[in-house]
Amino acid sequence: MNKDTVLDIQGLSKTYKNNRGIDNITLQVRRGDVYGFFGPNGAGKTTVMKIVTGLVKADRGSVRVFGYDVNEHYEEAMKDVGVLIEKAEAFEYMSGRKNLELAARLYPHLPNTRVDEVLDLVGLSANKKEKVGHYSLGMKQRLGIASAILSKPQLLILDEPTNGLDIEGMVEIRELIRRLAVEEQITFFVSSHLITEMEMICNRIGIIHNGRLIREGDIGELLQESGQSLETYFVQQIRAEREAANHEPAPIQYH
Amino acid sequence: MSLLLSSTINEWVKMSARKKTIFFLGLIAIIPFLGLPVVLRLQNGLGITAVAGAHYPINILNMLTLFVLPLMIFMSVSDMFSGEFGDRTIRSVLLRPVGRFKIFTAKVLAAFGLIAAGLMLGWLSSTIASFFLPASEGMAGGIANSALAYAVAALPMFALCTVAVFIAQFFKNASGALAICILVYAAAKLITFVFPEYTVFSPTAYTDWYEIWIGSAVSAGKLMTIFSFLTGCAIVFYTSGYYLFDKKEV
Repeated sequence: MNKDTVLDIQGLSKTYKNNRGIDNITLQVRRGDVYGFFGPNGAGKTTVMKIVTGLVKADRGSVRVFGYDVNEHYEEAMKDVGVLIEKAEAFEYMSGRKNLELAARLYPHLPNTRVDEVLDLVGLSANKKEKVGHYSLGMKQRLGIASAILSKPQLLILDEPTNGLDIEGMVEIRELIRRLAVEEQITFFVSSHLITEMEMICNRIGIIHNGRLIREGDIGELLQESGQSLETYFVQQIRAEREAANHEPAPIQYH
Repeated sequence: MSLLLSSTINEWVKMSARKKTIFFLGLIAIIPFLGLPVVLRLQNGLGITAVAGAHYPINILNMLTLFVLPLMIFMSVSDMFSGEFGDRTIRSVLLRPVGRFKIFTAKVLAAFGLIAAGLMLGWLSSTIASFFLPASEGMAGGIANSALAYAVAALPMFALCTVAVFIAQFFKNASGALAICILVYAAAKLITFVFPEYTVFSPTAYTDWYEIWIGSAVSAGKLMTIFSFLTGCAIVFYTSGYYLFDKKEV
């Protein structure tokens, strides 16, 4: 594994009871990348992210974060990782601030001011004493992002971070990602089903469809390859994959 | 170690932020005083000492270990495990750099802490309430006896707690886990009445083992047997519970 590789996913496969899942996903996220994990809903993005963060176990394959195997050395692997999977899950009977204080207790190196700092960063300072149960969906999502960046992570894993946000909120999150990537040198592994969003914030992209990674590369390289937008490129890739599948020889039947 | 301690404190903070926990602790604190008028009226009416001051904390402990504490345990454990998996708030715990074993242990320790707090509160409150009852001989000895009874009553409650933790792993909503815990507990208590020969195999049969401790003739062998059985039960259910917890996908 290259010393610049922050996240190394090798041959990851997982099949759920409904036969959906992911098949043989291999990708690397390098230090400083804003890696966009793009695919339509149900393509398998969340499954990959859940396996990476230990929420779900893979059937096959391995995940190494900062060189540590997630299954064997979870605490070391996740020490410098911030995560937001799907929507932010917070304890609704507690205030936004209390929720962050719970998380902060697990990072003894954090200064006491950090909780207020991140609340300010995501624009929740005015609502910090309100119970999360009274928050709007957008506010909960902001709290989730605040919780993910609380520990000053080196790698941020964000699954559809703009879900539930209005246009202004989406723009703010995109700006926050850009700013954190540049100013704090944070590496990002971000998933989305919105290709334009990926195009705006990422330098590398992996395209997943039907549980398989169909293309991976630098944004510029992919744009050059397509000659147009990433949207057109994605549609071309899907059509090509579909055609290839249709032309596959039929499996041998034994009688 | 510091992560385990921080996680346990977090579980405590969450528990104490729930109104249900405050309600149960409040209930434990006022039950001894709610019972006072009944006992006093009985004594004034009959002209006999129905409950002597020295025995009052033990009578209260009977009620606590039979109904109130088990209910509080089932409720907390259901919220802590099934409830958090159901509303997916467990993710905010699992996605931190803390291994699942520490998270599981922190939750169990927090539940043990709640039991200990409930028992301490119950003893303190019932001891204060006992001063309003007619004093009997050996009041000081009675207080010491009741302190011992409340302390040893913790073990069967801990064992019961691990059983509830194990049951909670099968549910993804707190109310389902709570209902089944209550049903299993009620059934286990009933079985001991219907089939007394099976009593020895049920951890729920020893919720009143403190009575053996405060009795006049304490058999060390019997105490050791019950202690081993309860500890064994707790270890088996704790280990099985962790096995299921570790395999859970969210």
